[in-house]
Amino acid sequence: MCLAIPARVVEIHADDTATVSLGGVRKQVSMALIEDPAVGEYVIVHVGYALSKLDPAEAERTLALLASLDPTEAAA
Amino acid sequence: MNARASVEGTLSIQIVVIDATVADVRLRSTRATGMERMLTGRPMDEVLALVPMLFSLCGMAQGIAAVRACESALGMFPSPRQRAARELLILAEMTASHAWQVTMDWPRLLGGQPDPAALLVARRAVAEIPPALYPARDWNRPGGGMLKPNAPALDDALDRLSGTVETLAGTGMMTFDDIGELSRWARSSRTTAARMLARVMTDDMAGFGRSGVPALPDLPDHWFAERLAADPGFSAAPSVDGRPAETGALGRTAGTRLMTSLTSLFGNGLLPRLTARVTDLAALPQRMREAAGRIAAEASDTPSPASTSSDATGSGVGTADTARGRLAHWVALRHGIVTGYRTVAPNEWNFHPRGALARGLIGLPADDDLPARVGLLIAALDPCVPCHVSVEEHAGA
Repeated sequence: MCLAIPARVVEIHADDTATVSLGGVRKQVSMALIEDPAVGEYVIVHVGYALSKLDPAEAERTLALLASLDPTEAAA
Repeated sequence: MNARASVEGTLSIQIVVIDATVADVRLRSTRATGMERMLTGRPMDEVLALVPMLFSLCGMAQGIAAVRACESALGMFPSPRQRAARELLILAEMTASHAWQVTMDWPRLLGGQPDPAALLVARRAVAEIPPALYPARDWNRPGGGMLKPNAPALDDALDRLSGTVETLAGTGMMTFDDIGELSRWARSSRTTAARMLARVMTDDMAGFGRSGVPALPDLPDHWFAERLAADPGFSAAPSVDGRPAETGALGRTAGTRLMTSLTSLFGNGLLPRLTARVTDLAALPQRMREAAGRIAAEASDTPSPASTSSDATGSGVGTADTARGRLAHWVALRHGIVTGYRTVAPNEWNFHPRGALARGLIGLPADDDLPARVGLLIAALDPCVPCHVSVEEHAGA
């Protein structure tokens, strides 16, 4: 039950990877499971792979909801 | 750490070794289980729209558990046709989850490279099923959405998914009776699934990680409702009357001749667990066809009203099976607003501090092979968040 955190594609590389921004943190992920990724799109990332695209409105809504969750209070 | 980046959580597994024996296993999850805080105070319809978006691998099962919980609270009973459509959606997602393990996780554990191209074929087909059933994508509407199956599109997606499953799991899994037949197939086939099972048999790991932790019984929904409603701590550390249980493919496939034979030899060790996953995967095409057949056979129903009652008050629970096991959602509503929301997911059963992983490792010899074997056992239990394993050697008494 991992939470799906929207990440924004900021740069696409030649080796089927892309740099995404996950709440301001940049990381390089594989785009092997995504068709025709584009800079500015939102994707869901799981263990180093972009899984699926999200429409921007959905992504913003999910991000706002996740922001309301304070991880320091997450259950142990 | 950035709040959004850390919210996904991790599972930390600390193995304590004393005198070359695993003396303790300490599990600590930072996986956020703060659903209640996120969803409380929001209108029911908004919560139903949000839940499937919050989960990357099992959004469909989560969304269906959520709508079932709301229906239970509202006293609504979806038609057999709607129930069959939802079952098909859940089974399709389960196929994608099992396919992830076999194409991405198992090759890595065998020293090879993941095969995202094979997974992509399965994920594409799975993604086509919801719009082929519910063109308005309202599959999670209480009472049931506008179900208008597009038979050719559905058939096409199911055909491709069946083809992928055959490629990944082989065609014989459902016909094997015992370890001899399984072993012959595992040694002769070059598929990842076969190589994984062959490795476990060859390296004498068939019973590795076996424990006395029983399978989660097929409990009725009200059992989950009573516990989730009464105990806010049940979500993070669930038990059956104080005892941990294991949920997942092993329980679902129990009773087949092959699994009965394997569990009589190796309990809930690595070979039965991994074989159960391949068996579960191999059975999915037929289960999906049966669900699709029930949708086609049932008379069309009248869709429920588009807007749900704003004075909805009550509580209820909904469950759904995922690849990793049984999932339950409990909701409390007052005048259409969610006043309580709790869930219990397979991860919390299978990675309970005193559960199947911990109990399966304590007492085992801590030799050089231990880290690799622990990696296989974790994969067999399939956590839904990244895992960090550390081994700490302490001096003996």
